[in-house]
Amino acid sequence: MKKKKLILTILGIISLAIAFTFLFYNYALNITQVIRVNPGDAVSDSTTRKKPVVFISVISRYPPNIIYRGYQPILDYLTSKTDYRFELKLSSDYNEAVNMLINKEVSAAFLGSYVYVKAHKEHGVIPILKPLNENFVPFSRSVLFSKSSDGVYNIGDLKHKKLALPSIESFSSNWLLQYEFPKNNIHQKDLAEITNFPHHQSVILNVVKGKYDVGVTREYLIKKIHDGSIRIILYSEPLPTSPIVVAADYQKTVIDALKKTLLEINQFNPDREKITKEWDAEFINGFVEARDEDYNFVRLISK
Amino acid sequence: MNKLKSSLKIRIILLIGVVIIALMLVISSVLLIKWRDIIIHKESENAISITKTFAVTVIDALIFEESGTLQKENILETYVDNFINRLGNVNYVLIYDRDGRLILYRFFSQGIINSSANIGPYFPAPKYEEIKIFEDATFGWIIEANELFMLSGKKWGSAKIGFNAEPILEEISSTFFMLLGATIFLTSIVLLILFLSIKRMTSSLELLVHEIDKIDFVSDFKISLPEKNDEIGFLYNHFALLKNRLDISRNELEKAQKQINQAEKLASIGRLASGVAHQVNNPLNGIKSCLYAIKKEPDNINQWLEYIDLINEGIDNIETVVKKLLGFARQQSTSEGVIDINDSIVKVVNLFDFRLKEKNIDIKLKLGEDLGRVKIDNHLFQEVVMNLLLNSYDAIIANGEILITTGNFSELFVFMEIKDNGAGISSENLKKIFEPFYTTKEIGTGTGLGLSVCLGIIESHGGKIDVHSVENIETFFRITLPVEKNDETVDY
Repeated sequence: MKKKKLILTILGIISLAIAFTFLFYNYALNITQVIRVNPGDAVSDSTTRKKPVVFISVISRYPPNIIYRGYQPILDYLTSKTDYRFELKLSSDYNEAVNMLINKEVSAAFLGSYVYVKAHKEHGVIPILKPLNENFVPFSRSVLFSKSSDGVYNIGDLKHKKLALPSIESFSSNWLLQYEFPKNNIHQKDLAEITNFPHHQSVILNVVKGKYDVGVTREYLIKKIHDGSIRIILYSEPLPTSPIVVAADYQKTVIDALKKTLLEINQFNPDREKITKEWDAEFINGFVEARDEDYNFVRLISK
Repeated sequence: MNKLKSSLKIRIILLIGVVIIALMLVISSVLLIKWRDIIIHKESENAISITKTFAVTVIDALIFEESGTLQKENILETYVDNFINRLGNVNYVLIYDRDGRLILYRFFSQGIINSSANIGPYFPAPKYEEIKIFEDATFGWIIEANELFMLSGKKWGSAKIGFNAEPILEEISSTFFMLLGATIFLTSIVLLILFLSIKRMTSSLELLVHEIDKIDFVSDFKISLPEKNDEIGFLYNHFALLKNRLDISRNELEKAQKQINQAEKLASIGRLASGVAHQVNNPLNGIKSCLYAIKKEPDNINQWLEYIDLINEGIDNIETVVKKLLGFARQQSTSEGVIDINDSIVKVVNLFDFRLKEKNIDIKLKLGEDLGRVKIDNHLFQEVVMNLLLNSYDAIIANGEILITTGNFSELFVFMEIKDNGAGISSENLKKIFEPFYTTKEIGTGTGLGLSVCLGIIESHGGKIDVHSVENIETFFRITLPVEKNDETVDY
């Protein structure tokens, strides 16, 4: 009797263990679940959609995706700080951005210095803001550069070299061809090849890959390359940074809100670095007001 | 001991076994759940990473399309097809525009990319960035990554990518069986060690019990247990001490028993004294008369010769009586021999004869022939007979009858019965007669130890005493003693 009870007890324990194992196996293999990754995104998008839309254009100095990654955060910041929803409108070339401004498709435009001077002369557009550089002054430089491994040390070594330039409408292209070449008695025919690329990134990429011997671009873009593969051959004179431009009959309420918000970004703003963390490198140091006279040096080159 | 084995060994193994199995199951379950979560988390992170990377290219394509640089359908289709082919574990990809409209979808099954499947169950466009793991009717288990194409605050669209989750189940399943195997193996090892440990422990206890069983509390048996430094050794030591204390107590008890026996014997002698005095006195009176006649006629040689013989006979009688009394009263060292109880009974009856005649009590002996020999100290047995005879004597006022019968009860036992027709014992008193110091006699007549001593003597020799009495009619004592198989010497 006792032995039977013992056997029944052991069988009971084993049965329980098997039952538990079976149930637990089924439980372990049921992996149904929902993991929310970023629950806030949809909400922020829906709330800002209620605001009136203000379009801003950007000249196509960079590829569209890079422009979105560098400029969209600026517009998002403006959206968050004003009563407007700012949206980008890309242009396929430098002149289209000006045309959109003149045609009222956009309320403001990020232009290059050279394009602005032309647009001011032709359409009377006016600059409202210009970005500060790393020293918190509104100047930048263009640079002539080559690969460190190439034997190009000064502008005189450019003969029979292949030259990569940004858009023909850019200050950088005009600075080298219209200002430095005559000053150094270099003719375009002395070079093996001169090519204009639509974006500054394309210029840098072609020189780094060795497809071109030298290139011209903006100083702040070259500074992003820290690996020592690039040698700066020549700097331009400091020139006013690229302006944000509006039409002569701009919407004062909107533009005042834009100016006020962006002017708060400067070296005295303790949150500047946090705010501008994802902005294009050209704008991370903030803005100052711009005047048309600031671009007289550019006009000198443009002649 | 078998009962102890089952209750100790099996109960401990069962109890600890259940606890270990339960603990191992709990630990394995927790491990598996944690492991499962890690596997799912790893695969989810993997799906998120792939989807995020995928999103970068799709967003670029959408941006290029918006800027008029490229036609998104061309670049997206090519990219999605390459994406599915390269990864190999993607079951479907669905891309939606910013308004939730489906702009591209691909299903991948059995190595074929299909763009005309029923997409009903996979609507609508995702609202959140999330990972869904579920069992799909078509593809089985799926990890679905829902991605919103956000560039800063701008939404460009969204996508659902279904990854094959069957490998996750296979990994969880193999982990489960690995843990189950480990649980069974470890539990078996622990139970085996437990079984061997308990077996070793109980074998020590078995040895101790075996030694305990050897003790008969009569002989001076010395226990022999191995020396141990554990709790069992501690138990051994204390058992040895207990055995010593029991030996001491037993010796003291034996001494006390002897003293009681002697005291009871002396009490019996005191009660015999008057009869003995009379037996001595009669010959003395005869001797005195003879001496008086000789003194009166000192020259009568014939009378001298006749009376000297009478005097001599009287002195012999006195000497016989005194010898008997001394023989009974002497404090003998206890030495057990094999005796014939008939001889002992006759000697006691002879000693007691005169007192019986005082009350005109007729004593009859009906002694059996060829009695088995009994291993008992002769003096102790005589004391028993004397006590029972004295009780019968006291129970009969006058003109009574005492019958002593002996015989073989079987080959194994002999018996002695003493029956009298005295006052008898009431049924109420009958229950108490063997209690020490219980007596119904007058103070100074009995010690109250007689029957208690008798019972102690008989039981210590493996025998027993039965009593039957009917008040005012008869009393009947029967003593049964075991027969000694190996005859040694006869102790007289």
